[in-house]
Amino acid sequence: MKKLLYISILCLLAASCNITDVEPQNSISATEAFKTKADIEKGILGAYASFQSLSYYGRTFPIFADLAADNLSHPVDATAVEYTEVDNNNILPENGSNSNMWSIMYDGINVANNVISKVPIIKDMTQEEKDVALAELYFIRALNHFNLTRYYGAIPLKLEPTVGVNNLDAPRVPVDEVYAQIITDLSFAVENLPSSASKIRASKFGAKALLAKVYLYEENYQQAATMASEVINSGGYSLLPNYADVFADEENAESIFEISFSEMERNRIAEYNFPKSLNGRREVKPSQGLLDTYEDDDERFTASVAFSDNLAYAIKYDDLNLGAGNFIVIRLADMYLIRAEALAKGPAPDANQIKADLNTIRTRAGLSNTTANGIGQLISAIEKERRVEFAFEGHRWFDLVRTGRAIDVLTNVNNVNQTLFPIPFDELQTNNDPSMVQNPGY
Amino acid sequence: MPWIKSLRYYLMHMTRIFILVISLGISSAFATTTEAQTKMDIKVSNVSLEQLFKEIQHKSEYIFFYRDDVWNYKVTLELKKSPVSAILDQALLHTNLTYKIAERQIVIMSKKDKMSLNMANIQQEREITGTVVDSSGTPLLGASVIIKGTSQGTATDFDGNFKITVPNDSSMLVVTYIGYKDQEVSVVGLSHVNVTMVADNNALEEIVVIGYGTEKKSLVSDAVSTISAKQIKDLPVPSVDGLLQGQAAGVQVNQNSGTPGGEMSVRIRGLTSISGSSQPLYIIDGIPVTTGDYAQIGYSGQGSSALTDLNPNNIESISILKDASATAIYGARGSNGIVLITTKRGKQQETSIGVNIYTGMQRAWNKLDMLNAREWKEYRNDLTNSTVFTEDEINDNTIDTDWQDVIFRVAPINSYGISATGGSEKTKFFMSGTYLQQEGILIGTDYDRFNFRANVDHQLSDKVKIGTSIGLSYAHTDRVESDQTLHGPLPNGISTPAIYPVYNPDGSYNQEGPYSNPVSIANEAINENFSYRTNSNVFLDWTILDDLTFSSKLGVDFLDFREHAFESTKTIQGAKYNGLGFETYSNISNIVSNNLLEYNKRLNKHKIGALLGYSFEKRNYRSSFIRGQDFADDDLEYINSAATIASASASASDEGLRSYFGRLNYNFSDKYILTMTGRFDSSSKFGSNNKTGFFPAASMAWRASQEEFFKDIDFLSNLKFRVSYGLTGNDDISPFLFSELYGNTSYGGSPAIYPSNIPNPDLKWESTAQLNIGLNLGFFDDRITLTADYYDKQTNDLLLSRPLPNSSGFSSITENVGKVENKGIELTVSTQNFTGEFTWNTRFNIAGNRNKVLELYNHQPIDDIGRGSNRIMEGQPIGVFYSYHSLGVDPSTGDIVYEDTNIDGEITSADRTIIGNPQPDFVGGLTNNFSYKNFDFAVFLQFSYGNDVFNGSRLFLESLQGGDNQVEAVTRRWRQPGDVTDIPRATTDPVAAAQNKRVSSRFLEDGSYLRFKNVTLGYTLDQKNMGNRFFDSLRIYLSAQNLFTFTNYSGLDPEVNYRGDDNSVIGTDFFTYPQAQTFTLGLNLKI
Repeated sequence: MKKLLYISILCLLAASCNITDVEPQNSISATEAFKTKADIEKGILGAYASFQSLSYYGRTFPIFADLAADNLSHPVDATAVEYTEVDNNNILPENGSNSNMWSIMYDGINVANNVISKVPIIKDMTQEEKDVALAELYFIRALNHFNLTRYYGAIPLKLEPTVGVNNLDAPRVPVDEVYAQIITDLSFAVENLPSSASKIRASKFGAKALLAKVYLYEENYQQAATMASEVINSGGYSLLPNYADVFADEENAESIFEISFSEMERNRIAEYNFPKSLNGRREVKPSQGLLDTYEDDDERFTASVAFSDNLAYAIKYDDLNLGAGNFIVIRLADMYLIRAEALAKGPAPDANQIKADLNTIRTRAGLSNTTANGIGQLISAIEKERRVEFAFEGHRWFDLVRTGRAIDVLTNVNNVNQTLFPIPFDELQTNNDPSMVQNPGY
Repeated sequence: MPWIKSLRYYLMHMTRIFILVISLGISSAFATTTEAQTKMDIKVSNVSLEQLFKEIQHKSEYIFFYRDDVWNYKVTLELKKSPVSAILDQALLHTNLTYKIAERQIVIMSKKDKMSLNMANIQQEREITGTVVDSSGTPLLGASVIIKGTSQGTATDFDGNFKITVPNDSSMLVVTYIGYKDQEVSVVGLSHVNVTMVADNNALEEIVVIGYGTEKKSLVSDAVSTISAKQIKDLPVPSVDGLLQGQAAGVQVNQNSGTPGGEMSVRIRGLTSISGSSQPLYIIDGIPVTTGDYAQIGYSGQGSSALTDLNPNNIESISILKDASATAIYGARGSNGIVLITTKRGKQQETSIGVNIYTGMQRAWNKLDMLNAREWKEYRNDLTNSTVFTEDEINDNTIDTDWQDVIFRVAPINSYGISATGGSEKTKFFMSGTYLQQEGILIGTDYDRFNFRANVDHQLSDKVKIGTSIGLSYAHTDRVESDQTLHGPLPNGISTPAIYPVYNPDGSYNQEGPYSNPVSIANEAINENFSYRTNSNVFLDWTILDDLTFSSKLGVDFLDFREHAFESTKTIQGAKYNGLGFETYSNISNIVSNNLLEYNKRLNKHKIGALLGYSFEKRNYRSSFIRGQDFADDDLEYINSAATIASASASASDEGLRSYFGRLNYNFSDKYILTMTGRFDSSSKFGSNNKTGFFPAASMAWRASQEEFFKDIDFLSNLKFRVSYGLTGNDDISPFLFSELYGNTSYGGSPAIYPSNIPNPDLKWESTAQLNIGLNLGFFDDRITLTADYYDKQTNDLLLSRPLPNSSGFSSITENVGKVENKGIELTVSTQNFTGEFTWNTRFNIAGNRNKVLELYNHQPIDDIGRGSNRIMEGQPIGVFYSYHSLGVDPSTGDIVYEDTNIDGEITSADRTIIGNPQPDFVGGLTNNFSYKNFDFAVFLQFSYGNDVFNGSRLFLESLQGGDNQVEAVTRRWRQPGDVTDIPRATTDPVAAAQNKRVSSRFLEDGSYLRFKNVTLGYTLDQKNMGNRFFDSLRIYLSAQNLFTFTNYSGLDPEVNYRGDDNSVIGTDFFTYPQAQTFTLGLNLKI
């Protein structure tokens, strides 16, 4: 009897020896994570993954860009209070959707920076392969910084990953310096990325297209026009004859860079647009102003807006069930209009070339040529064309703000302070850098 | 009923014969054991026989039974190493006495008596009669008289008389009666015995369960509250945490919602953690219980609770350990207090069967005043300043749905339980089975549970005892989504205007309202969870030596939690996805081993107790989650019918804990008591720099009432001073937070990794240092008792999600920064106001806790948490409400004016200020028990005073915007300049409307309440009234739970939190499921 007890006690002790040695089962430790080229590939995809967030291209980012402007409005009977603030251009710094947007963009930057810091140490990659990887990461970083500065103005510029809790008080950097960094990053990407790559990832011409856009925002019109031309001529993209196909087919010939969504990582754009009769939430609806802007016979009208019991709703992204439609960030049509605008605002505007570009877009939409004459009219025509061409794609707000037209066009915007979104309250609370102060007017 | 009588008689007869045969056999086997051969040295000179017997008793295990006339004989002896038989032979040589040895008893009788005994031995058995009385001579009815060593026996009748037939080998009877000390009576040579029972109802002799052991209540030097089964037996409360409410000073229980099977927040002496759990550690029979919400499908704050699997009917007693000295022995898990639950176990008695049934109805005790159809239409016209509804339409109110009547219902609750307890000297058992069925007062919710328990103790030999406790349960819950979603029956029901009917004329659900039809969700959406649980253990107690015992217990808590949800196309959410289904599994298993070595020694007036323990726990958590869409048919609920798997994942996590602990208890003369404890805990969750924690504590107590100078003060029966100080910990940290990890995701169908956290190798437990000063008073023989405690808890190393600038890519890192303090006073008063035929006892407890955050990282407050804007800031309690201070409606504009606290001419977020505190000033309970003849009546009140509640529902129901239904109060809204009112104007001006709806003191209310928590009236029928012996007692009772609630709160229930058990978002109502008022009829039957 006693022997049995002693033996069982010993067994008990032995069994418990390694009780506190446990390993994580759902995550990889940092020392194991980046060893080979395949790991870098996974890291790069990790940097893309933030784009899929609901606070980013999954819902909030494109919706806010039309909601703050005059393409979308917030129905009276809808429930998301934070959307009301955006619709009224009276956003409180505590606005959660705004804060989440800021956070997810910096999340993308941090992941990219993290992988960037690991690339040099990988043993089984050639210098060329490393440059390709870095180029893709710089593209991601540049796109995030671009989106941030377009909403918030002067922003912290992050080029190093966050590895500890020190030195996190990042200063707000003036807009032109942000753009300088974006251009540096994109230029490297243009240099080093291969030309053909999947559309859900960065490519040489994808970087060029984004660069064209960035130049336009920076008002560097010559460079913008040059870049746009390069993409149009040598990118291998083509406008789809049927406008509706642009949004129906994934990775089609017109798309330059899009964000991948699937049933596992879904977007909720349709859910927030669709009316309740079709089981959507209808937090936003196309504004009457937009509906009135479409000309008769404009193919884009039926491809962008549908009606249910006289209620209009946006249908470019219409997968309510699975949310699996990819979101197009840049497509070829944008290059035409960028070139047209860059030429129009450049030193030597060529009205015919401008009209040609404008008409390319109009003809594809089933419309007749533009009747605008003179640079002034052409610029207005381009603005109007951009509005209907890119409705519900997250362009309108930025177009109005960068051209200085927001106060004139938008009824709720009366002060230049309202052309910037407020820095989220959480950032102001935690970032102690003296330059981290709120945008004026908030 | 004659056939039952004969069955019992038959059983008794058979068992008697069976046991007789066995005991004859065993006793003959033992007849030649060592007892008879114990040798000792005896040297006495001219002493009385009694002296000699005492000497022998002192040197051996024998007990002597003799008559008074043994004094007359004197004896002189000197013997070495003689067996007792030889000694007695010598001693009684010249007397007319002889002896008989039976095991350890030696009976001295006259030789004459022995002869008659020998005569009697020729017969197999004989009859013994007797009377059992208490110390005042009153006969005791129903005292149990059992032949020692068997389970045969009888009970005394109304006159205290009994008659029992005993086999000749039996020499002892054991007489037991509740509330009296057990008595053993020798019947050797006797045919009639009179037994006087000595009362054992002195409260101070009560045994209190403490960490890893028990202690007499009088000798406890820690702050421990106890709740007995008697206090909680009539409460129709399905879960253990609900039972604690209002019963013990310092224990604040908040039933966050009325969700059946939902989790309650239990706070012992305040909130000690912000990121970690503030719930106490629950231990059942020595094994920690897995608690918490393991649901993977979100129901927006109204979570499930693993604690509800336990059956309250099985509880014998609950000990709540509150101060450091009591809790430090649980080391890194003791900071929040410990709830020790002991389940019922068998006793040496005839098997007693208990049947406990109750059946009742529940309903919502409160409804909100909402606009009816007419008022709604008028409001809409006013809001839009147009004729949305014509005059005719306003008058046509054929559709005027009272949605609260639709979503709330009168719901039944039933509980059926049967238990059996009994045992012999060696084996004791308790078995019970219970079935609880509770329908929820909100449509679409209910809760069913089966419990089974078997507790067996067996004395393997007289040194070794083994036993097991097996608890099994199965629970099924039907759930609905709560607030925060657009698919919850309660928020949808309240927010839908009265102009919408439930059904369309064609019978389909009307979906025209702003929210999906609540009845369609309740009827068509399937949301269930199933819980399969076992809390079981096996143990061994080995008495190595008289003073040294070893015990080992191996326990397992295994929870299998499955969720099944399906919405067909008949609901809005299901239609969106053509059928949406979820299937999740969670397995949590916790294996625990406790090994204790205990040493107790008494040297004259010194008593020393020492405990050494080694314990380890291994916890495994495995889970999986699948979401499927696009179902083949509305009736096929399981995911194999789904065409698309939208999401599938599985996960695993392990934890390990190893501990060494000890306790030293020194007691001088039961007057001066000193206790010291210490524990080392090593956990796999702690960072590499802080792998092991040490938690010491010490306490002292002085029983002043035992001192000479106090003994003369008659009215003072107890005066004890206590002081304790010690360190405990809270280890509720997510595993692996200390290391740098990469998480997994995918992009474009390929696997992707990303950095998921910033590492912190210094990560460790939160530690709480607690000082406790206590006083126990008793007056008039403890007819009035009072316990008072003052405590001061300082918690350091708070695990805080220290916020980081979001521009870093991370929003926070978990670090041990931060300090919180809890100080408070507890008072418990118990009085026996009337004893006798009419009895009245009162028990009152009250406690006030003052919580204050002392330090946060860089003084940075954690802001704007929850819908009511709770905040964590230095110098204030956790969760203080911080937002705009509303000055009311401006009579000239009809808009709310907010206080410009920083006087800068603008209302910005800098004008926010402290507007309220969700933590109460005082909580407590008052119980009055009355009994008269066969009636018993109890009233239990429970109260909370000084807690503020943010009524978040009013953000929508008083918003004067949108399509939501509004509360009746909006009919008194501002209409024109000059109106003085508290409700602002209805306007479509978006800016003004948003400003009026800001989170502010406008929606903050006083949540103090007093509840008649339980009122019970019972009537007992027992053998005195009934003639037959069919049952021992039958009690019928009527009980009302939440009979009255007195409060100024305008929402559904002042005891509310929409986020469930959360540390920082507290005291906020957002369409939260209210509690039910319950009326039950119950039956306690004892056979």
